[in-house]
Order: sequence, then structure tokens, then C-alpha cells
Amino acid sequence: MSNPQWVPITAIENLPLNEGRSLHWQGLDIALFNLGARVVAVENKCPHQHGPLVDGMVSNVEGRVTVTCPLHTRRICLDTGQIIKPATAGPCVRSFPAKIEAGVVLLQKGRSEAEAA
Amino acid sequence: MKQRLAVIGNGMAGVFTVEQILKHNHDFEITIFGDETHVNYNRILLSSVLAGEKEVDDIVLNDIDWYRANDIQARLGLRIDKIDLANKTIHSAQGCTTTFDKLLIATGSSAFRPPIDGIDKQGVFVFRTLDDAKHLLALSGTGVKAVVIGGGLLGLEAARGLQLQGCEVTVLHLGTHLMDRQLDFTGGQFLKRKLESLGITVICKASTMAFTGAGHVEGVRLTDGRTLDANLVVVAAGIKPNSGLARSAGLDVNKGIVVNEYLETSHPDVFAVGECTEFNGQLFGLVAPIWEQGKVLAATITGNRGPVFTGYTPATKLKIMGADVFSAGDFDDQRDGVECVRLEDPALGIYKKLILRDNKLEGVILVGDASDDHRFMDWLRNGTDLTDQRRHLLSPAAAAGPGEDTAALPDTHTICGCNGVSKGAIIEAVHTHGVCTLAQLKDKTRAATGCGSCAGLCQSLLKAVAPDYAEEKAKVLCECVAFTQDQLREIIRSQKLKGVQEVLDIYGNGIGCEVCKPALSYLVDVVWQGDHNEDRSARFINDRVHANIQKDGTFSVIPRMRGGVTTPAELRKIADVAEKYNVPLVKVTGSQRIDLLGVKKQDLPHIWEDLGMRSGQGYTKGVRMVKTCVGSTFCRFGTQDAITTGVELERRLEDLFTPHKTKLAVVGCPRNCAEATVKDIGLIGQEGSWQIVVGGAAGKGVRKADLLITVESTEEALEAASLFFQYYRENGVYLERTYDFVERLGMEKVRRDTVYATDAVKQGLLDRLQRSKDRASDAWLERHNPRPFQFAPIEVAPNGLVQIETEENAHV
Ligand SMILES: Cc1cc2nc3c(=O)[nH]c(=O)nc-3n(C[C@H](O)[C@H](O)[C@H](O)COP(=O)(O)OP(=O)(O)OC[C@H]3O[C@@H](n4cnc5c(N)ncnc54)[C@H](O)[C@@H]3O)c2cc1C
Ligand code: HEM
Ligand code: SF4
Repeated sequence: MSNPQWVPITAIENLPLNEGRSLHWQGLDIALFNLGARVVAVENKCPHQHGPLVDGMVSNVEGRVTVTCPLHTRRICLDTGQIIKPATAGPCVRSFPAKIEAGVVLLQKGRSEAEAA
Repeated sequence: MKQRLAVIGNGMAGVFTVEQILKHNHDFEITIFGDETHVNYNRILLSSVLAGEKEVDDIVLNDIDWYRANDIQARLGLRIDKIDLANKTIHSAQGCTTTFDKLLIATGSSAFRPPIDGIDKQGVFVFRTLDDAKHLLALSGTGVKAVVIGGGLLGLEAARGLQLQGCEVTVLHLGTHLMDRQLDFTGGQFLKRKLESLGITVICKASTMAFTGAGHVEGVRLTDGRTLDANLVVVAAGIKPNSGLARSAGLDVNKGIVVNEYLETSHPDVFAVGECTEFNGQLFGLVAPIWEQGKVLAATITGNRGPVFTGYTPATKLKIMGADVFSAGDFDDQRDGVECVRLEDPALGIYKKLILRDNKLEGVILVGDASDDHRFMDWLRNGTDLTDQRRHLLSPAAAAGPGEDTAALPDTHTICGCNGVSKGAIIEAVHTHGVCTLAQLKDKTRAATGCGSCAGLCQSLLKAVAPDYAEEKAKVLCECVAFTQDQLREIIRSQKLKGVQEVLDIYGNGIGCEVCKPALSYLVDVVWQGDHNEDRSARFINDRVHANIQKDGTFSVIPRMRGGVTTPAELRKIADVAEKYNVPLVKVTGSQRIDLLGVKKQDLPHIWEDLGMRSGQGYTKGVRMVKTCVGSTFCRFGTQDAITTGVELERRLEDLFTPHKTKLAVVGCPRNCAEATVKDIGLIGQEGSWQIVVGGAAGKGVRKADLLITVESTEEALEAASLFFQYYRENGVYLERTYDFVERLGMEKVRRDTVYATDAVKQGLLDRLQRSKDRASDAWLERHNPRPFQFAPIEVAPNGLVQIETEENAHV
């Protein structure tokens, strides 16, 4: 297993609060969200019909932070990647380790969280 | 023979007691004397009448049919000025005499008029009766300078009412802080800040020396030498019991008429109830204890002497939206053996303080958020031991599921404090009367008809209990921010909230969702006429990139083509752009313009630049287009110049947002080639005049538009359309099309509020429209000043070099 390496992506100023921004990363389309206290990175593809999650609105379902797919309003939990409204047992969105350090957003080279787990 | 019961005072206490007497077996012949000429009304809601929230008819408690149906003689407009206990008669100022067997005194109290120099000048009022409210309404308005003397409950409610009527209001308060009988210093300061943010000036430690002016009041002079301009003064310096009549009759009177626990006075056939009474040295100024008195007295007087009145825990709630205040019990924290639990959040304006002794609640103050007052009132009344709750005294554990919060309440829990309606009584009303709406509940139990603050709790109880629960028409926007849109408009305006996040933070769950955020975005825009804090994270993607997202994640581009009129040069540019960017589909739309479909997000700003045309707003809830027919320009039948008029209409309204999309059309004659009769707003030309029609639709349903008005000139036609347009913007519910809007309000009301309104009202609509228009601009100009990575994906910086995207290095 290769040593995980954090790669600087962009200044946090480039991610407006609660708005998605997209990124091509390791051959994938990624949606980055700045949630204020943290950033999250998920694959930019709704499990339902592949809507661009990056264009969704950050919202909440009973206190859980979600993004609402702009095409058919599926609400996806940004922590688990699961579609939680309407509740389904379908596939999850892949998510990737991300963090902010000294005002810079970092992603980890290597695998997605789902694969690493 | 029937016994004659005379009641002096046709107010809340007297009539409530009579209602209770009617519930017992009795053989009284009842006569009620009242010196006000009105039937019994809800005095509490006078503040709402002054604020314009309620009409006079809305606050009637017992209409004249009630008196008739119950064989009660109502002698209204008669003032009793003498009681003769020896002969058992009462005498009115007008000279009539009535004999009684039993007498009930319910004369209430009067506003205290302190002996200030000039207090008799015209324009100086008190605030106690419906007539007072009417006088104040008649004199208040924009430009009027009003001064309210007294920063207690009554004074502040009067101040807010006057301010909502347009007055410039200053409150002068003698004490060190507002509502000093109900709040500590800190609480008073928090309240002061709230009121100031609503636009009311508050001056504490202000002692009034004189009212100046010749005849009519012109100013208020303070003892420190300052003088304030004033055209209108309301003195709210407290109340004093109307007990003089009883005193001269020889009854035992202290400050109020002395009554015992059965509400008996010192004379065996005379009883008293309400604010005119004094019990154990206690005087009264709120209805809750008065209802208790009324129930006890009804038992006593009908021969069922037994229930006793035991006094009460004072509890006060300020009825000003956006300035919540609740206070109950003894809040003094300097006493021995009491503990104080406090929360202060100056940013949100929330202050909470609990006074405990031996783990029991003795007093509570809530400012800025009084939503859980019921819990505290319950603890206070029942002396609940709070040992187990110490960890979450101020923030209760969230209810586990819907309905659980009300399920947790005991049946004896008082839901409506004003009218003393318990949870059990509400459940019984549901079961025995099939109550399933709030309106029916009000009718059957009186719950929520007092100050109205328990309406939310009643709703959730109904929802949990009533099998056929029907949601009221006024629906809350969303669970994230549980207010109706009307309330939200008022909150946004009065609390001066200019951004979606602020509204969510203060009145919602802090996050919001795709349902409420676009609606709030619309509301802050309209309320502040474009002078709001635009928050793109609260907008749907279409409004973040000014294009319509398609099912494959690409976008469509529809440039504006006013009136459907174009030029060869413009068409050439569109053709070039379509080729340059490999646009997969070019389509002439139903809206007389051209759509470029399947465009990549990152190409959007470049396409706009190459086109050099304005955004057609084909992606948003806003002004779509004005379709036109050829009209008199070329058409053989044309009577009016549809093209010029349509282009001008589009120019005046474009770039603005509306509750839902708005489509317009102008046609040159009634043949209606551009289908103006099925548009949100249509102008139909005829010989020498224009018809303006509104509320049309040709979507899933077809609705023929209603005639708004017929006018002669083109300028008048454009004005009528603008009036309706702005009226819809200000009063439409977000996502309500005009065809639902006109049906909800009714065309009579729409006409009355727009084309038939006074000049001042019309000018107001046009001015606000103009202000919004001045601040609006073509959304596509954002290409010159894009936000970071608004359109293109982030490029990972090579070698870890990270740049902040700015105007200069933006990818445009
Ligand atoms: C603006 C305002 C807001 C209020 N807000 C609240 C609130 O939020 N919560 C709350 O609990 N309470 C509130 N109150 C107080 C509440 O209205 C009173 O406690 C209640 O009305 C008292 O009832 P009552 O019958 O004793 O007196 P009243 O309702 O005043 O009735 C007495 C009646 O007797 C008549 N009368 C007096 N003398 C004579 C006479 N000699 N002959 C014939 N008729 C006579 C009077 O004209 C009057 O109509 C408010 C009061 C006002 C003015
Ligand atoms: C999500 C679904 C829809 C989208 C994205 C959409 C989009 C659009 C757009 C962008 C236009 C404007 C074209 C322009 O501005 O030139 C338009 C026009 C129109 N749409 Fe839709 N539409 C939708 C649903 C509907 C539905 C359900 C109906 C009818 C039931 C409808 C009826 C019309 C009509 C009649 C026009 C022509 C406008 C006119 O001449 O009045 N649309 N639509
Ligand atoms: S509506 Fe009348 S004026 Fe306009 S094109 Fe048709 S026939 Fe001509």
C-alpha cells in the first residue's frame, strides 16, 4: 500500500460557503463543498440518475447535512454518501478524505474513503 | 319570581362571569350596564387593532345575538354613577333607576392620567378602550411624530402599533429599564435593543414635565430641559381600579374593591370581579386570574358556594412580533437562598433567566425567544421538582418524534393561558364536537382567541389528536423555518434582516434546504427592493450560473429578444455562437425567442460575451418575456402598436424576480394572435383603448385572464400592468403563479389595491418597483466579474502552488 499523501488543491477562498465547486481528480469528477467548519469531497455524480451534485444546494434532513441533487431533488448525506430522502437502500456516493490546513484545501492521493474502508 | 341580577361593566370580566353563570342552573333576569357603546370585545387585542393586524369586527367576543339568545338585557352607553345599597337600586348618569336583588360590579380599571401640565391638550390620549384605539388610528400616519409615555407592556404595544401605522415613535420611560415590573435590568436592555432595531426610539430615565403647544399638543418637555416634538401622545403610565362607585356606596374598598376567596364583598348581595377587585392585597391587570375569579363567582352566586379563588402567579407576555418577552413569578435574584441560571446571546438578542429555590422554579424571564414559555409556566404553577432536569433547563431535549412534545404534556396542562383551556379540554372538544381546524377549536373552546400565542401549540395538539386534522390555509414555508410567508415578510422587514442566512439563524434551523432557501432569497430581494445581501448558496443552480440546467447536467442559453423582435445581425451572431461552441440543439421557443441547448457550464460566460445580448431569464422565477403580435406596424387589422408597447413593457420589467415565472404578451387587436388572454399579464389593443388582463394561463390547465381595467392611453396601460406586477411581487406567495394569486385574493381586492387604489398607494407600488429596477441588472454581465470557479472546474495547482481566483486571473 502506498503512503497516503495530502495534495494541496486550492485556497479555501475559492470555495464559497455552502456552494459546490467541481474538480477533475485522479480521473474522477469530484464535488467539493465548503461547509464552514470543514470541507467534504464526494464524487460528482448522483447515484440516482447521475445528476451533478456540485450544482446542488446544501440542505439538511433532520439535522444531517445533505446536498440536494439539482435534477430530481434526491437528498444525499454528505457524511455517509447515502441517499436519505427519499429513503432508499441504493448505492452510496463515493467520498474522499479532505481537509483544510493553513487556508488550503487538501485531498489525499490514493483511494477514495469507500475503497479504503 | 325571578331574581334580578344587575351587572355594572360590560367588559371582559363581567361578561365572562355571566357566561359562566349561564352554565349553571339559575333563575336570574340579567341586565348588563356598560358605559362603552360596544358589545363585549377582546380588550387584549386592541394592540392588534392599532397595529392594523385585526379589524374591529374581528375582536368582538359576544355579538348582540348572543345577548338576545340568552335573554340578557344590554344597556350600552349607560354609566352608573350611584349604588343605593339600602334600597337596592342603581342609578345611571342619564337618570334611570334599576332595582336589583343581586349586584355584580365589574367596572375594570382606567388608564392612570398623571397630573402632568397640559395633559388635557388635544392629541394626548390614553389606550384602554376601542374608542381610544379608533382615535389613535384616525390621527396616526406617516410623518406623525408620536411620543408614548411609559415603557410597560401597554406603552410598548401602543408604540409598535403607532409605528406600524407610519408614525415616528419615541417611548419615554421613567425607570432605568423597560418593563421594569416584569424584567431585570439586563432583560430591559435586550428588549430596548430589539425595539430600537424595529425602529422605535427608547429613552429611559425620562421624566415628563409638561405637554406643550397651544390647544393641540406640539411637544413634550422633560424635567432635564429637553423638549421633543410630538403631534400625538399616548400616556400609558399604569392603570387604577374603578372602585370609586363602590367606595361611595359604603362597600369595603382599599385600592380595589375588597373581595374574599368566594368573590363576595362586604355586602351579602354584592359581588365583584375583574380588575376593579383587590384580593389579599393583590390587584389585577391580566385576564388569566380574572377567568378564575369568574368561574368561582358563578358558583358562589348561583348557590353553589364552594370553589375558592387563591390568587395567581403573575405572568406577562409582550405581543410584539419579533420582540418576544415573557416574564412570570419573582425574578429578583438578590434574595437569600435563590439560584440564578442565565443565558445571554447578544448577537441573537436572546436573554433567558431562571430563578430557582430548592430546585423549584420561582421566576422566569425570556427575551428574544419565548417559544418555550409553556414549559416554564407549568413548572412554576405546579412547583415541579427540577432536580432531574438541571442539565437541560434552558434547552429541553428535542422531541423524539412529531407530536411527542404535546404527548408529553399532562391533560391538566393549561394550553391557553388567556382563556384557561387545558389540554384535556381541547382533546374533549375534538372527540365530542369533531373539531379538526384551529378555527373550529377557537369557536368551541375559546383557546387561542386571547393573545394568540398558544396557536402553535393548539395546532400541534390538533395534528396529533384530530383524525380529520385539516391544515389551516396559512401554511408555514418549510420545517426549517416554520413561519408563514406573510410572517416572514414581516420578520424580514421589521427585524431588518437582509440575508437568507440571518433569517435561518434567528428564526430557523440555521441550515435551510432547497425548499426554503430560494423562497427566502426571493423574499429578502422583494422586501429590500434589491438592497439585500445576495447569497448564492441559497439559490438554485439556475440562479447561480444564470442558465437552465438540463437533464444531462448541461445548460440552455436563451438571450432576451424583447417582444420577439430580432435583426439579421443578431441572428447571425446567434448562428456563429451555435457553431463555435458546437451547440447540439437550436430551437425557436414558444416564447418567441431562440434557445441554445446543451451548453457546457464553463462555456456560458464566453457565449454570453460573444452574443453580447441580455439574459432572457428563461431559467428563473422572474420576467420571462413579452410576446407581441405585429400589430398596427404591419397587420391589416391592427388598432394599436403592439410591438413598440410590448418592447417597452419588457424593458420596464426585465431583470426582476417574481414569486413564480411571469409571462406577458401584447396584442394589437382582440384577434389575440400572441395569446395575451392566457398570459400572466396581457395587454389587448382595441380601437382607442387597451384592456389589461391578468391571471391567465396556458399550461397544464388553461385559464382565461381576468380583466383588470380598460384604459385609453398606452402609458396608462403600461402603468396598470406595472401596478399589478409589483402588487403580485409583494403579495404573492413564493411559487404561486398569477392565476392562483388572483383566485386567492379575488379580482375585486386586486383592483381595489392596484388600479382603484389611492394615488399614494399607487405611487408607493410604482416607487418600490422603480427602486428594485434601479438596482437590477442583466445577470449575464456577471461574466465580467465572476465569482471564484463559478463556471469552470478547479484546476489543481501544479507543484502545490495555490492561487486565489480573482477578477484578473479568472478563466474568462
Ligand atoms: C391594550 C391592552 C392590551 C392588553 N393586553 C393584555 C394581554 O396581553 N394579556 C392580558 O392578560 N391582559 C391584557 N390586557 C388587560 C385586559 O384587557 C384586562 O385585564 C381585562 O380587560 C380586564 O377586564 P375587566 O372586565 O375587569 O375590565 P374591562 O375589560 O375594562 O371592563 C370594564 C368595563 O366596565 C365599564 N365601566 C366601568 N365603570 C362603569 C360604570 N360606572 N358604569 C358602566 N360601565 C362601567 C368600562 O367602560 C368597561 O367597558 C390588556 C389591556 C389593554 C388595554
Ligand atoms: C421543468 C419543466 C420545464 C422547464 C425546464 C421549462 C422550460 C421552459 C423555458 C425555458 C421556456 C421559455 C422559453 C423562452 O423563454 O423562450 C418555456 C416556455 C414554455 N413552457 Fe415550459 N418548462 C417546463 C415545464 C413546462 C410545462 C409543464 C408546461 C405546460 C404544461 C410548459 C409550458 C410552456 C409554454 C406554453 C411555454 C411557452 C411560453 C409562452 O409562449 O407562453 N412548460 N418553458
Ligand atoms: S392580434 Fe390583431 S393586430 Fe395583432 S396580429 Fe393578430 S390580428 Fe393583427
